[in-house]
Amino acid sequence: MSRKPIKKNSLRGPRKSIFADKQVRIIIFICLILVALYLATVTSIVVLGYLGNDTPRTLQEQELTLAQTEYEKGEAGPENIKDYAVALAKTGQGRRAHQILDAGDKANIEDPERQWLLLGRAQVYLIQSNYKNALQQVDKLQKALAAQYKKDIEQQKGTGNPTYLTAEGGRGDNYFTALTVKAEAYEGLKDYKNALKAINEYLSFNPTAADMLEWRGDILFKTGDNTGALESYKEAKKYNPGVSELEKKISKLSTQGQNGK
Amino acid sequence: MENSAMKQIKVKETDIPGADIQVEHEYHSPTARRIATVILVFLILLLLIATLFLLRMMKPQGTIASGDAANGVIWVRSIYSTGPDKGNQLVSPAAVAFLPNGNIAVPIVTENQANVVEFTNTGQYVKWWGGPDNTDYRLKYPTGIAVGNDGSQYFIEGPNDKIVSLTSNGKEGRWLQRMEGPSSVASRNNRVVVGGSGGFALFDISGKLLYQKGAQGKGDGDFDMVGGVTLDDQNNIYVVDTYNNRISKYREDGTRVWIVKTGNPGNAAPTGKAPAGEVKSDAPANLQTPNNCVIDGSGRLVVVDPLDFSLSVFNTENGSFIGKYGTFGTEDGKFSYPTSVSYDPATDTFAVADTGNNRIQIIRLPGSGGSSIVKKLLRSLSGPVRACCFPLLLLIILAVIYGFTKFRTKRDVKVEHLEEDDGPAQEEKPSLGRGRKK
Repeated sequence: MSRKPIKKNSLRGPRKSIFADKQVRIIIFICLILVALYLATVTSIVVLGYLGNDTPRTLQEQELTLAQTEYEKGEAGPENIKDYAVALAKTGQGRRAHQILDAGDKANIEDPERQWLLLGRAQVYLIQSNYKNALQQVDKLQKALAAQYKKDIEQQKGTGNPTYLTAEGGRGDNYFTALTVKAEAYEGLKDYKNALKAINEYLSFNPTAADMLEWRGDILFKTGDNTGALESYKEAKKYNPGVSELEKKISKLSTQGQNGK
Repeated sequence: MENSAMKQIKVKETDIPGADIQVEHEYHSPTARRIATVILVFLILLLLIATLFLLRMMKPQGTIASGDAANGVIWVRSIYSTGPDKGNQLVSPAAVAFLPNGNIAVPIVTENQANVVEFTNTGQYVKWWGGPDNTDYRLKYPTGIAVGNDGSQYFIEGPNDKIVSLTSNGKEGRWLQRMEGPSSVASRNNRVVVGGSGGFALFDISGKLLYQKGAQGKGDGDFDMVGGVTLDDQNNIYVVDTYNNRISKYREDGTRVWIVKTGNPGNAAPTGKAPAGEVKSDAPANLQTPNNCVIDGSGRLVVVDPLDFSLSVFNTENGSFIGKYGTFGTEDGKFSYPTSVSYDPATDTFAVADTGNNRIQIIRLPGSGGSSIVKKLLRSLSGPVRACCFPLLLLIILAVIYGFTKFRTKRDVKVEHLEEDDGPAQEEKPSLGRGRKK
């Protein structure tokens, strides 16, 4: 009968590798399995197009792609810079948004009183829920717009009746966007009085803006003015019928009103 | 050092009585075990962080309406463009259809001609086609698209009073038919149904007209713009009469099974006094202008309404209203004048041409995929969960390799024991072949 010799790794054998321990081998094996599974998952995600697919999936991603493409063409005007910064902020890249606006500020861009960049910065702050800074930027913008408006009136005096300036008070899109930013910032600060003031100013120029009427209804509801809110919702529905969300709000307030009576 | 090494060695088994002692040692190193455990814990933490980072990267950026805000619509993704430039954006897509491979076809009308653009269901642009050039089959103004089970494509061109059938690759024409004001098209099994301003027509897949039904009007059996048609597995035909605001079901032979009111005709006020949009109907669905329709995985009829910004679901047995999903808005998950809907049973998803928002939305509706466990499993595997299929496969392969190795080791030990039992003479014998040599 042949017999196995006593193994060399006996009491005084040479020092062994750590892999000689079975338990260590098991742990290392588990580590390798985990890494392999993770790599397989990542590969799978990429292969199936859930990652590494740069096609926009949402409206915000779409806006970012478009703004970025325009910006990277190197012909970006102040409005493009604003759009790009806002799109970045909406997709959670606030720091980059400010960098873009800073670069815009430094560049010699033909933009009267830096209106677009001020608006862009206000919007970025608003997206970041930094309401006070947003309001500061809106104030600067409104002053710049007022100065521009005054300048335009002066320029037009010699050329006859400045008819285009009388339409909507001579105010451009920036003016109205600034008002919405202002209203949203005040709403964020729970200063509903000033938020309503901004919305009403907007509505004084655009009384059929259904979304603004609905918004006014929302704020009035928050202040406890249910009658005012209901009226505002009904007014909004006139210009934007068939919206189930609006109908739900009207029905809720109407029911509350009837129960109150 | 020797003392330490001694502690690391443990006698596990003492065997074989007699002169020689066979001792099997198990090497035991506490330090190595500690290091390995730390590595394992560190690795698990690292992988968890990497997973969170991965999930963050996969998460769509932006505001997505869900739950009550989307009125029950479960958003999957939106498709906006074929590329990053302004010129690549979808503009008011009015028709959409799933292809047999799960990709999505969207006709896009340009100045002089139209092309059909194909996207994967993850939104990647694949290719485009438009029928053979310089022939009557070349698409010019497609207002509707349907894809048959064999991949054959059917287009209606409302302004040109034309129905065009193309091969599955879209490069060759199959057949062409003329019909006044075709407004909707659908295909299933071996039938093609086309809706028009005053009824619908049934064709076989070779383009042969089987029959035409209806006349334009308000009466029972009349139609006022068939905005949607579809077929079920039994070739029953479902007809959406847009301006009469009703839907009906017909057997393949043309006999009507049921007809239900879905709202007020043409959204007209019954008294003539209520302003537009203020009209309420006693029909439970209360639709405005029901349009395109499709049968879902549960065999329900899903109707899209551009002016109600919704998808309504009906029972195909009796036309009863089941529920309504969707609301107006620009956020993903909401609609602005949706005009067309298609259903992919493999992924249990709907593709909706969200015309006013210049996009195609891929969505899900509650209960659309059926309630069986197999269907639920297939549905979950059709989403990002299927990314786990590869790792699962890898795990199975590793388990098989491990099992096989174990099996071989056991067999080798057996062979070794047999060799030992046979005595020294056996040592001279050649190996058994598959056994491992020592």
